[in-house]
This record gives sequence, structure tokens and C-alpha cells, in this order.
Amino acid sequence: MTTAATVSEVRRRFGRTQALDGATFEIGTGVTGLLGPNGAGKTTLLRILATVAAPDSGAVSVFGRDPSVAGQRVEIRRRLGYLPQDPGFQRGFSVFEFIDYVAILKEMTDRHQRHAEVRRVIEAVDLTSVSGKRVRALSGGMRRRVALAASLLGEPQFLVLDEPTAGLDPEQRLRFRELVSRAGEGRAVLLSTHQTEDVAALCQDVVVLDKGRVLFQGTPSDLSAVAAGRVWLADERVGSAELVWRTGEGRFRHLGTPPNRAELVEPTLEDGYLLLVGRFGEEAAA
Amino acid sequence: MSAVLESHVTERQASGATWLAILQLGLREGRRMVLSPVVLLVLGFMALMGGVNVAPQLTDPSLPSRSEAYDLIFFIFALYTGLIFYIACHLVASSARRTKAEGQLQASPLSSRARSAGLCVGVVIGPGLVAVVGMVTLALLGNDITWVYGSQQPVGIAELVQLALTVIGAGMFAVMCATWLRFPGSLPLGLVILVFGTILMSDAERAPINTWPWFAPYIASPDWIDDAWTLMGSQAWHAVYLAGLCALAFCAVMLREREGRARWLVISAGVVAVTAVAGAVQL
Repeated sequence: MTTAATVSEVRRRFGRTQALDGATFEIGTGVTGLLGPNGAGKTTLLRILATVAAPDSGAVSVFGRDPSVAGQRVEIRRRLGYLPQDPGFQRGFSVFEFIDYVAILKEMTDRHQRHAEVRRVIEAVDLTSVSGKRVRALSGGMRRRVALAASLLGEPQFLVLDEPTAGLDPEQRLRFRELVSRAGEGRAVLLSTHQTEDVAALCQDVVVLDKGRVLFQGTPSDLSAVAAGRVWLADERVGSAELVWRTGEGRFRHLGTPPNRAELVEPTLEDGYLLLVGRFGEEAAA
Repeated sequence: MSAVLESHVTERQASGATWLAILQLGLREGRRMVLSPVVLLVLGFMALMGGVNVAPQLTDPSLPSRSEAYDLIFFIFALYTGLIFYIACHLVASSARRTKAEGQLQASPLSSRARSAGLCVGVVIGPGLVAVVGMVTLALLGNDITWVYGSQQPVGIAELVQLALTVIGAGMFAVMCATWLRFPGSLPLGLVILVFGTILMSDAERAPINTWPWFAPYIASPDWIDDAWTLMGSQAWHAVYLAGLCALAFCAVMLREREGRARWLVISAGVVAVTAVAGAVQL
């Protein structure tokens, strides 16, 4: 496995809020999922890795280069694709014009090659039929795909995606998985999401962040294993469980310490994540 | 994890690509400025109103007389084009901030400074080209016309260059405002400064006598203004002086970013010196 980026003891504070509190991990080739509750510091971390923001302290290295040095930062950006959490679009641009504009900013100066690349990424996100339409006239999901297409320009070696599947319909999410899976072949993709099923389906590595700290880094099956022996089904709600919800079949799925003779079931990645984040919350409160 | 992922892009390819990208960005931004709805609507409206005004005075109803056309184009450029392009250029320069598109753009290899440079190139290529076309038209029309105000000759080449520079200067000022005043309302604030500053400084009776000649001593041909001040000095040097002011606005845009500011301070000091010399020589 090849290292694309390393984050070491990174801290970042916004006023009284400590967004990142000594986060440390490595990102290799393939797709890495970044999970965490709201306010965990995921977006801040992604902005730092995308060289858009700088940490207060700690070290960040992308492709062995230091983003705090201007020349090296440009080198990183030449190999980077970034989809922000809430992408904006200038007024008046059509889908093609916007992506072409971003392509110029990515130093694609050969007009014919650039236009071919713009058409390729538009096709990749299935927007060819609306490429001449104004971006602002599109639905939220389509606009997100426009931004995703822009981030895919030039087949970046490191793709940083902040909640890319928010607002996408199920068919587009599956298409997105195919796209990201292909992007992660021989390259690095960091995928921040709340969709644990996307992580389970796509990622070779998972990082769980909470309160600005890395709680976990490992494979999706490692994360699922966190909940091994702690997930059970019952016909009634058991009060001692940490989390309980009613499934589609009408039974109750419990997370936590099981009672005797509980009907244990195979844990999912989501179970592991929920237990991990829940336990950390209790420890932090204590 | 052992090796570090490497890129196929060579340093030399990347460096050349940056300059070319700034130029291409300038072309794109220049087109956005010229095709701004503000420009199309207001200039179109003015041309229409001017045509309606001129039409009754025509001896030949099919074509305006050369002096009437000259008069119309001259006043549109002298009084309004700079202001219109100020608004258009500001809207383009601030569009990424206003639409919250900066997040994605900031992660691109072209730095904020390079993108600002692209905007300035856009001002020269877009509004600048419009101004040059207007001035060339005036120069062609001005040949052998009977001037409406009875002067012996229309404005000279140096004055036409000055007019073009005021349009470019307004655009540069707009980019400077959008770059430094990054808040809603910076467009009208800059417009107020531009309009009232010009009115104040070009009013010889109100403005301090020592500052007035630096702002508007030779904005029109000596035949136009019956004032001893305007009969002295050099039109050509005033054009150089205005070019210096445009360059200073560009330097101010470049100084917005902290990195590499020392180098741009040195360059700016040089431009200030040249502009000051031109300003003194023009008097």
C-alpha cells in the first residue's frame, strides 16, 4: 500500500470550539472512509487535507509534501480533487462552462484536451443531457454531481470528497460507488460520509473521528468487529441496551451488553460505529 | 504503507501551464465582464437613447452625421462606460465569494493571487478591448469632421488613450475593491468612492489646489475647457500617469495575499515612483 497523506497531531480551533484535537492517521491508496458524528471535525480535516485551510499545530503531508509551504502546496493541488461539503456555483455558468472554468484553474491549457476531459467527467456523472443547462437551474442532487465532476477532472491522485452522496437518489448513489471505486484503483480517495453502507461497500480503510480525535482506524470488518457479541435481536425492548430500534420485521435490534441467552446477530459496520462513538461519548462525559 | 505516491507532472510543464492558465482565465473573465447583463443592458439602453436623441437632428435620416455619432460615442465612453464596467467587473470578481464557490476553487493549483491576476488580465482583454474598439472608432470618425462644439479638431490620440485607460482603470479599481473589501456592499461603497471622489477631485474650486491637477488636469482637449490649467502640461504624460494608476490598482490586488507580499511591495514601490514622476511631468 502506498501512502498518499499523513496527518500527525493536528489541532485546529475556531473560537471556543476545538474542531481538531490531535488527529493522527495515514491515508493510503484505495478508498478510505471518514466517519464521525456532526461536529466531529471531519470537514475541517478535509479542508486541511485539501490545502484550503491550515492547522493551528501539527504536521500534514500529502504526497510527501508540506502544504504549509507555498510551492509544495501548489504541487499537492496539481494532484488533488476536492469536493466540498457545500459547493457553490457562480451565476450564469452552464454545467459545461463551470467545469471548463475549473479545468482552467487546474491548469488544463490545451483547449481540445480540456474540452474532451470536461465531456468525460460530465459523462461519468451522467449529466451529458444537461451539460448546456445553467447550473443554478438544476436540482440539488444534480448540482452535487456537477461539483463531483469538477473534482474528478484530470484523474487526481488524491480525491477528497466531503459527503458526496448527500442528496443523490439510490441509482445515482450506486453509480457514484462505481465511480469512486474506479477512482480508488491505484490512487487515494478520502470519503467523508454519514452513509455507513457506502463505507462498507467501498472502503478498504475506515477512520472514525469524534470531538476532533481519531477513535479508530482499520478495515471495515475491524470496525464491525467492535460490535461482535454486542448486537442481538429480541421481541421486546430491553432497557439495559445502549441503543435499541425496531427493525422492519417488527423485532428490536439492540446494541450493548447482551443479557443471558440473547439471540446474537452478525454486527454491521454501522453497529461498530455506533458503539464506538457512543462509548467515546460516555467516556468523554465521565 | 511504504512508498509515497508520486505524480507524472514535471515541474517545467507545471510552471509554463500556470502562466498559460492565467491568460486563459483572463480571456474567460474578460468575456464574462463584457457579456455581463449590466453592460449589455445599460450600454444598449444608452445607445438606443442616444440614437433617439440624435435622429431628429439628422439631415440624412438614414445615417447619423459623423460629428453626431462621434459626440454620442465620446460621451458614452467619457461619462458612463467606466462606471458600467466597474459594476460588471466587480460582479465578476466577487462572484465566487458571493456564491460560496470559493471552497472548490481554492483547492486548484492556480492560487488566489493567480486567479486575481487572471481577473486583471480579464479587465485588459475584455473592457480594455471594448474601449480600444471605441477609441479606434472615434479616431476614424474624428478625421475631418466638423466638431459640434466648434473646435478645430477632435480630441487627440493621447486623449483617446486616456479614455481607454479610464475604462481599464475602473475595471481594475473594481477588482481591487472586490479583492480587498470582501463583504456585501463593497460594490456600492466602491462606486460611491469612485464617483464622489472623481467629482470632488476634479472640481478645481473645491478640491485643494495642489491635488486637483493630479486627478483631472487634462481629461479633455484644451478646446473643450476654457481654463488656463488645461493649456499647460502634456496629454501624453497624463496617459502614462493613468497607466501608472492602473498598474497601481493591479499591484494593490496582488498585495492582498500574504505570501510573497515583500516582492510585490518592492514592485509596487517602483510603480509608485514611475507614476509619481509621470504625474509630476504631466503638469
